[in-house]
Amino acid sequence: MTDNTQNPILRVKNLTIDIPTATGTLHAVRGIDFDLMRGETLCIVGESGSGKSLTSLALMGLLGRAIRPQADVMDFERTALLEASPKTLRSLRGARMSMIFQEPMTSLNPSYTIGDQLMEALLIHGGTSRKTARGRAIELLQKVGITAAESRLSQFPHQLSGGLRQRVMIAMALMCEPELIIADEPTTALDVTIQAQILRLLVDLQAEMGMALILITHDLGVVARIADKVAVMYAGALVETGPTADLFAAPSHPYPRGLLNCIPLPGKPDRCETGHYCGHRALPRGGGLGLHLPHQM
Amino acid sequence: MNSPDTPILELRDVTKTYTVKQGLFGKSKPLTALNGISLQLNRSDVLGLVGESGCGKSTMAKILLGLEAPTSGQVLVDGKPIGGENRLELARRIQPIFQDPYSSLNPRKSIEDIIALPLRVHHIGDEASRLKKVRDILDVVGLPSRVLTNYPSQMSGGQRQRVAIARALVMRPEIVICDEPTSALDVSVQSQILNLLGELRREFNLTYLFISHDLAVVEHLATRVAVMYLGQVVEENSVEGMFVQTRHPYSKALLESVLTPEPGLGVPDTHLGMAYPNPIEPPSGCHFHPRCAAVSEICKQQAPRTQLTTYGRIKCHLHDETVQAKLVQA
Repeated sequence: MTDNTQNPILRVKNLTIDIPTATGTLHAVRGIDFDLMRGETLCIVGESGSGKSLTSLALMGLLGRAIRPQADVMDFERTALLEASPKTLRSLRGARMSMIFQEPMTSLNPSYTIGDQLMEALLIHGGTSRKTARGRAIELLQKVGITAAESRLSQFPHQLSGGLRQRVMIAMALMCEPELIIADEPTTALDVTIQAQILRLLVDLQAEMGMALILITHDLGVVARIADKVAVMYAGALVETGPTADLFAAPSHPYPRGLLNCIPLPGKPDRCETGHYCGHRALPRGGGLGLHLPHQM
Repeated sequence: MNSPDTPILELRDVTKTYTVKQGLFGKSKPLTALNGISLQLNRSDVLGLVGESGCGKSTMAKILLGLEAPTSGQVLVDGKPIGGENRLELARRIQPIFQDPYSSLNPRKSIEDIIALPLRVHHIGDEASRLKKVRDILDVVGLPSRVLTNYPSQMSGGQRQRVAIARALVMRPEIVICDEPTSALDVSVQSQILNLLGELRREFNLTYLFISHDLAVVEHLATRVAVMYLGQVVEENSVEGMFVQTRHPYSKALLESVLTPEPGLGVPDTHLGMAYPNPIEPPSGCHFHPRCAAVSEICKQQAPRTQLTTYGRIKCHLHDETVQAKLVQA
């Protein structure tokens, strides 16, 4: 699927995010590196608080003024994202890179119709007429499997179920045919049946449109089924990266090994081997993993 | 006490109908959330109740907790029907653990207040003996007693869920209704909570009704499984039976949707299609037929009967011998 002679669509080297807090600096992301090719799927795995979502927000330039991410390289194609002006970033966001957020309940605007929210990006970036945008919105709603797409356009978010709202979010991210999609736990809030459907949809659309996909999740079942490569984050650092098959066959780092042991599976011993998450502030010296590991020395 | 054969909890043909208005001036229409549910729970059983959102799982939990009255049918505890008068008595025996530990704990109360509240409501003991009970139960759920003065906002999701479990168990109930107790938690925390629930069940001889949409979680803990679809139980089975030989097409689709960490398998196609039917206008015949991979003509016209199987019950024409025989003749 991936052509290695290509240039990566996204290059990140030594990305660091420090957050100043009342009790001292929180090193939320501590120097992570990764590359992403066109049409490739990267899954970032880790527990809540490990810095996954902050990384994705930094990529999108959505961190806000108080937090300044730093990196040696953070390039989307040829644009250095950290040096880019707000105007350049605005022209990228929603058009060439877009994001699917975790909570479909809170990330849609309750006072605008589905149609308005879907068409917004295309009207701003594409400079198309409302009629064309409307046509495209209907087409995408159908593609994400929403029945009676035309009548949905005039509905408000509260009139839709969680699964439908999440599909609207996905359709919204696809409106301008972006080259990169960052999906932050797109299926965590959904039923298993809907999860399988939405993931299939993402995979199909990706094959059709050739987008690169960064999927943030803590569900290794999801990772195994759709990722080309995996990056495991723990306490702000990447503890293991590699092709999916390798990581599942032989995770070399104890943390992913612990995560794999946590999944309830038929015929497996019913003990979870990871200990307690140590939290960010009280990071022990070394890998930041001290308290967590059953194999600790 | 009744004879040991009496199920500790029994639902007899329980139906719950809500009236829903469509639009501001729209007509009111009945929404059948539960449609003739009959279930039995024996002492120290764990019944896993599985189904998609909107199938009536949580309505059932509310009815069992006495928070809602069924429209028709009966709920029996130890063979005695529950009614409006003995709410306190019922609360002593049945306690809930809810899904979201972020909204089910009062943010303005300390952990001690939260866990001691059931004891105060039931006028059990004095202040000192209550505090002792709270400390004991904290120890049981694996929290240090220093968290007593904490507030929920100072605790992580897993810790909060432990507090919720402590609050449910401080009355020493016999039945605990767990409404998706782990779905808001991280995988590693989820398995800790599941292990804890398993240990507590053995220690206190508890009976669980465990509601979830994740069959993998249910298999981990349950002894029996009931699959619900649109307010009906479509299949009930022992946990071994369910996972070795699933019969109902809907149960099969649910099982297939569980993503096991096996790279290279890809995302399964469950053939469920996209749309969950509108519960106000349920499909004709078998409610599942528009999404069923093995649908035939009879499914669209006639609702299936409940068939007894070796370990449980099933509601599907595919497993109704008389229907199948007729089909062969025709």
